[in-house]
Amino acid sequence: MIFPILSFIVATPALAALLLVFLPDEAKTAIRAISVAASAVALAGSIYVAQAVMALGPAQFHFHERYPIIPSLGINYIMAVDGWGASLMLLTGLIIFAGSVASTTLENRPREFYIFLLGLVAGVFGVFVAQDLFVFFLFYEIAVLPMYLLIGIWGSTGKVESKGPFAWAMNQLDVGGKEYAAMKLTLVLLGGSALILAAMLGMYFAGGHTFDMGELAKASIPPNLQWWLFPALWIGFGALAGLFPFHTWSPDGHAAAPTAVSMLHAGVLMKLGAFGVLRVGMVLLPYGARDWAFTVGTVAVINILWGAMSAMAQKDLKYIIAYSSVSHMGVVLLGAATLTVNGWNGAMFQMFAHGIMTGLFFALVGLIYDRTHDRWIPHMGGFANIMPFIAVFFTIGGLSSLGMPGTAGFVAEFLVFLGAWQGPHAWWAVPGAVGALITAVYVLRGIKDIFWGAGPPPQFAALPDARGAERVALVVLGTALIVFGVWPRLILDLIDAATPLYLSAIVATQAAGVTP
Amino acid sequence: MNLFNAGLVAVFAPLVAALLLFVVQPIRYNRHLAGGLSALGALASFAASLTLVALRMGGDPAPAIYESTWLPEAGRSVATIGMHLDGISASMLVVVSLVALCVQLFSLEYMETEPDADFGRYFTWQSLFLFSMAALVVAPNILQLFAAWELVGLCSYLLIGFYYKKPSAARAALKAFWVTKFADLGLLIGLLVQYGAVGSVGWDPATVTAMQATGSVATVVAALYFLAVMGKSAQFPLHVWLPDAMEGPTPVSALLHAATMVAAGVYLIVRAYPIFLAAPSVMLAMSLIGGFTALFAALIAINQTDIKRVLAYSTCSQLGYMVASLGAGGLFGGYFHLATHAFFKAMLFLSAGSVIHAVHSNEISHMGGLSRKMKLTTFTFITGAAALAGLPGLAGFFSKDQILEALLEATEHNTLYWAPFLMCLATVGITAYYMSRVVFLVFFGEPSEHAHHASEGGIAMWAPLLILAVPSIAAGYFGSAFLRLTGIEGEFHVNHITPVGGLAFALAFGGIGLGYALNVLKLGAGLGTALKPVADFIEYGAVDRAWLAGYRYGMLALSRGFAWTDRYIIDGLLNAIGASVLSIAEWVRGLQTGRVSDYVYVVMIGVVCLAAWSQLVSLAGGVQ
Repeated sequence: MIFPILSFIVATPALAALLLVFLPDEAKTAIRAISVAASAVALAGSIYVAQAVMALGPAQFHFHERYPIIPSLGINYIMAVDGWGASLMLLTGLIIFAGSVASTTLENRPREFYIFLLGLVAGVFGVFVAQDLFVFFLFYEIAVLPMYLLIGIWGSTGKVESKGPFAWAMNQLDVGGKEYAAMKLTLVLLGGSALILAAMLGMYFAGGHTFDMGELAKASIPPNLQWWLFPALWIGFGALAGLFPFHTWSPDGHAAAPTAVSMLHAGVLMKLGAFGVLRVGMVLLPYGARDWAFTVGTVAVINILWGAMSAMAQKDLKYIIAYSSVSHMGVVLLGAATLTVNGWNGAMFQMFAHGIMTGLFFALVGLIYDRTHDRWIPHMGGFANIMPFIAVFFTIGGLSSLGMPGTAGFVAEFLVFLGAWQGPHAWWAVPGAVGALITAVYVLRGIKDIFWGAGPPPQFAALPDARGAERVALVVLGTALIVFGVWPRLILDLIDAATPLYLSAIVATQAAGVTP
Repeated sequence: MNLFNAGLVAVFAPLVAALLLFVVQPIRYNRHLAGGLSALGALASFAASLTLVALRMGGDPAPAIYESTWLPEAGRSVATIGMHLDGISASMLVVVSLVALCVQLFSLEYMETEPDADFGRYFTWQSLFLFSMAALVVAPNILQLFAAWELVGLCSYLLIGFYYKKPSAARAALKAFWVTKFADLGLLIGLLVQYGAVGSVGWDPATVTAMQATGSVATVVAALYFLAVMGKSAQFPLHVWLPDAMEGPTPVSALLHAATMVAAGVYLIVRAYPIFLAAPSVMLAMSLIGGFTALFAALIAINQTDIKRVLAYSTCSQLGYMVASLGAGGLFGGYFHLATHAFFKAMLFLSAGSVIHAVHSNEISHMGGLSRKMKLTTFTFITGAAALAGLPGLAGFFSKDQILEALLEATEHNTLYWAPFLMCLATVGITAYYMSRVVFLVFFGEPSEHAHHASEGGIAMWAPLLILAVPSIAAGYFGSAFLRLTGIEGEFHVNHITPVGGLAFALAFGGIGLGYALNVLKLGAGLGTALKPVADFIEYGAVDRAWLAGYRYGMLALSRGFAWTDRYIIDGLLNAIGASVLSIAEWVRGLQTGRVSDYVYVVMIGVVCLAAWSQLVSLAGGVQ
């Protein structure tokens, strides 16, 4: 038997979390060391898998593992990885490594924090390599649920004024509090999960009583059933990807969440949603994807513009980044909706690029907030004079987010827009590109307001720049943004080889004519 | 050294310098190492570029292309990254690296008073800029050109914002980035249209033929590309960022905002010229906009009181010439003017920098009488001004003559070209006027109190001026060689004065005479003062304000609307659902009172209802 590398990568953080359960609270150094070591192992494993898949051929699945769980119901533990999975594992490895390094400065209950964090990461890795829908869903929920506690316990509370036609409801709910944010996030995502579960069962029964995704791809689920199942998956998974209008959990959730949680959540978890739409919704339901593509793409365009315009009006640093995530996830969904090779390559690449970029952003915002205990941009200014290191990396992240060539963001956006232009609705590319322009406006204005100007306000004059472990996290993520932006083929070759195969089923439906 | 290696050194030597400076803090913080490394990178790039030209002059005229797949699409290549080495890119590399080298040497002294960290940062961006510009020049396709185009824009943003503590510099940097980024949408969308239509992002003959075969694609693509050119090369009405960009250090203005980066737009047209040729309507629009920009910017330059802003508007104006020429089919004139202008305008800016360094002010009124104190700078500035005005024998004369000839020739097949021709011709006189005004006010007359202690800078400052003076004077005599090197079809004669050339010459002298009359003899002094409010209104009252209003009342107001709707309507609805569920639960909980009597009432009501129901059912049955 070959070494089960995929299960090993999934299990490493989970076992580390288990180990932490038995450690005393006081052993903070050991706790941190174990967590960082586990994420380093996971990162090394992901790098190994990525290069192995590249060498073995990213179009096929490798490192198969298959154990029956409930044979009578056709539920198996199936793990395998191709170019798509490998690229997203690499992303997860990078983010969790940077995230756990960045969290070593956390003083409030680090043990519990790392337990949840590592558990969550195990789930994320599992989603990217599970090839059985049941196991996929299981990992998905493992990844999503710890968020409630992570925000509810370690989060921070802001204040939102009750106004507008629904002020009565806002008064009743304590909008802006961390418990509110955690609750809203969890309920919206669970609502999505309910839809996913229903659609999964539909696929199970219509697809020949199996959850094996390889089998389901070959099973001919009737096109009219697909027409009903697809939107359930799109909205269900989409809710996690910040799909308009189900995205409002994201700004409040990310604003309330602690640094590493925001990093992971915006960096990786939102990608689970988009990956679900693409890998489960579109690949397994090609007719549904074809018939709903126009809606998916148009809503994605709204996502891009809505997120960007909303971000521009924010004065709270975390809200800017959170709304920009809504906008950038729209780029992923737009790429998916184009149903073209370039669009899908771009969608996958944007998941990767945006994951690293948002991870970097939230790490930086966390560093700034740790120092200032203030997220209100008008209170800031001239920070480049006291924290040049943070300023440089914030600028790198900002440039990637506005699609500057030489950073990963450009490659992703260009491919998505190219795919959009080649797809049936070329006009999608135009608002998409305008979204990048709006991003340039609010990101650069933010950089100017925070970092430029003569000296920081007096109350912030003595704040230190990033140090030791904090710098490690920033350098890992910032370098990745530039390396993958300059030479995108490091990842893109993995993705590109697998994409045409996934797309082939949809291409076939296009010849098959309209669903009755 | 072969072609490939020379190309590599020309492009990557500055990148190595930039990376070392960026990553290794001790190098960056050591001003000798920082400045030296950066200048060394520029020197290596210049030497390699000269080698390239030598190799191209002797060798095969076909371009040498070295490329590798950058973006794959199902295994094949969407776009490559690499080097396209031909006479045009080699000559442009020489121009860029020579000016960059001179500017960096000049900066060694000019930036001397900056703290170590800022000094290092300055040279990091300088090296990064030279790399980006070289990558733009050798781009084998429009996607790489676009990528490098954005990178030079980034360097421009970073260098305009070099004095980031100063609010006006911060604003100018943002404005430059936003305006050019807006225009760059044209390049991005144009690339999509082109690739979507013909599956290539190149400008090779096969691609252009395919674009012509697909109807209006060439026109749409050319128009979109031209939008980006208008932003980068500061054509009306997208020129508003360039005068503000003068907030950057003066050597930066010389390199980026006069000689090279702003010429990137013109270079794009030169490179993708076959696409533009396939779109005659866009060509005409180019000529009209270019001609108008030339005239408009020259008019604005007349009344500027800041020496750098005069030069900035004159850059707009000269870029207008180039664009007008290219629009009229004058490829050689446009490109030749790009090269000569790069030399003499860089020299002018550096001379202005030398003056500013001496008097510590940009204001013309703070200067005066400097010819006695700064003889060398006076010589180079006057030479540059004369070349800019197009005085015979100097570089600008020959290239400007080529442009006017091309425009005149274009009128033969389309009379609408008379408009750009006349605008460009008039601009010759105006240019001569405003440059002579600056020369008279700055270098002659009575020195102001700031100018009393002015003196020439050290060798690092005057040597680059002298180096640049050589091509500014002599470049015209190499016109034929330039023509052969670039392989552009055309004619060039040094000793042949055309009627148009003679007319331009007369206009230039008229302009200088007017400058002498108004600024030295002080005849009709009220005229300039009377015109100033008009010019200010056009520039600041109308164009600039329109952009500002669009941003403030369009974009910002709209964004507040979006954010409000998001928070209070969309999220509000979600909250309303949540709150309603809570309220209903609250109400339902009220039913569970725990009092036995309440439950008995409910049971009794239930019994009565059931009885009534069964009675009704039996009655209904009875009727049937």
